[in-house]
Amino acid sequence: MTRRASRPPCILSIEDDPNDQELLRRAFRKAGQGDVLRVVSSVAEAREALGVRLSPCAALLDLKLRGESGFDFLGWLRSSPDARLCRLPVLVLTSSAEEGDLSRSYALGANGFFVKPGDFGELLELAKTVVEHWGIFNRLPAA
Amino acid sequence: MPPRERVLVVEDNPDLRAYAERLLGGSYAVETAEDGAEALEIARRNPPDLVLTDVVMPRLDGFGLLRELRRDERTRAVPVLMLSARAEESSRVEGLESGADDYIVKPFSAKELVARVASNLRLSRARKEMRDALERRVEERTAQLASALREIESFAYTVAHDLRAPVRAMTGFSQALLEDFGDRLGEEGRDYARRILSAGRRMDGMISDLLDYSRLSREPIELVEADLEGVVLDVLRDLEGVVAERRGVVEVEKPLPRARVHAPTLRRALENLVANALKFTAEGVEPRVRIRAEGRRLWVEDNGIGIAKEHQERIFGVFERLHRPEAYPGTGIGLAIVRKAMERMGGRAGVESEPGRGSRFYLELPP
Repeated sequence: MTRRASRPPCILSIEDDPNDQELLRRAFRKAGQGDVLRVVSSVAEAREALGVRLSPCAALLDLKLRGESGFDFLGWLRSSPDARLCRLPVLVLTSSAEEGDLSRSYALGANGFFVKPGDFGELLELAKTVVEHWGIFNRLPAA
Repeated sequence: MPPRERVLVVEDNPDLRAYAERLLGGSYAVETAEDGAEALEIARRNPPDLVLTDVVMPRLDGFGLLRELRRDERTRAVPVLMLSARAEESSRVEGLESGADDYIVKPFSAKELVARVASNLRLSRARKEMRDALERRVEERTAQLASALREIESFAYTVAHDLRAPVRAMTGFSQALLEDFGDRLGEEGRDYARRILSAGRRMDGMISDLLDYSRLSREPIELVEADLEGVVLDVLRDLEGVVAERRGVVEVEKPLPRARVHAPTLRRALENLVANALKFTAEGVEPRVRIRAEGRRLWVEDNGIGIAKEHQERIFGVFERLHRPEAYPGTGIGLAIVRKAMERMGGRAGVESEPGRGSRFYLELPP
């Protein structure tokens, strides 16, 4: 039985800091998964991308964004009538390790919570792990 | 017009009772009672502004009434004037020493009675005003402190997000520079890139530590009786890797007592002390650490480089370091965390040490 998903995985990153965007792109590139990552800079852009039938296998979500916040995105996502959006695995990737943000994220339906690593090596490991776990091994229900 | 002040007249002699009521009824709302017991009942129901009481009465006498009034929170501050036929100095002194606000000898002049009632009410009003003003000030101050605390918390939160992002860029891209373009930088270029990387890492470490330290100040702390041996074992388990890496030996002198502590906070303090003991040894010397308890103190003793007397207070400050980072790594927040941790638990931390003769740090637990 094949463990690999039938189409190439796609990870959607919602991140507004251009440096963090570039470092994330580099990490995915170094992990040999440069084509997997799709980056948008705001919740509005994310909504647009997801509306055009983009079907990521997971989203990497920053909490502190210009305009609507990561929490706003989660709220919108989890209350969507579209099952594809409602069940989309969301991994919060943020600077803050505050307990409040942690519990609020899970309360709003996040599937995981990562603190942005200061060391690039750790970011690389994170990229590899996310692609492997959510992009390759994990199964999502058919839309 | 403000409501009239209420005076309770307690007197078993009906004529005297009526007389007092007549004298005072003009300016005050007067209530009467025949004895101390009745007076107490009335006073507890609705505390008067002043009590005028005879001493000798059935059921409960003047002194008894005074004692009961003072015992009850609601009536403690009500001024009590005693009326007595006993004119001797000893009686007057006894009356005042027992807590009466004033002592009037029978037979009394009408004018004197009215004047003393008025003056005692004036004093009582002034005291109440002062109390109220003080309470208002305390409330204001508490609100100010709460607001300042919220500001500090939001500051720590902002630090997490806003400062860490540019630091990530610094370390991330200098690393990228070294990895992807290192061969084109030349030795000096690579050195510069490495310095940027190193500075970025140091900064990230300091931000992390500051957040840790500020979290320690904010967390609610509850003291629960715990087995110190368990806490020490937890710490040693966490530091297993470091102990092995430094080829250190940690000895725990048992038994360790039980004590009222906040276990996670004590662990933080102990972990910092043991990590320091493992770190600050002379070149080539393998660390030997001993943990033992004496009275209320938990001692962490090492064979390290020791600390000169003039530095022994300073090292407990935030980001205080005595050595170059190349010699001994770290941001210098460890001991500040130790001190703050002990403070939060109502205890303290200190050190005994001489350069070259090791250090003995202690955590003094609250009584």
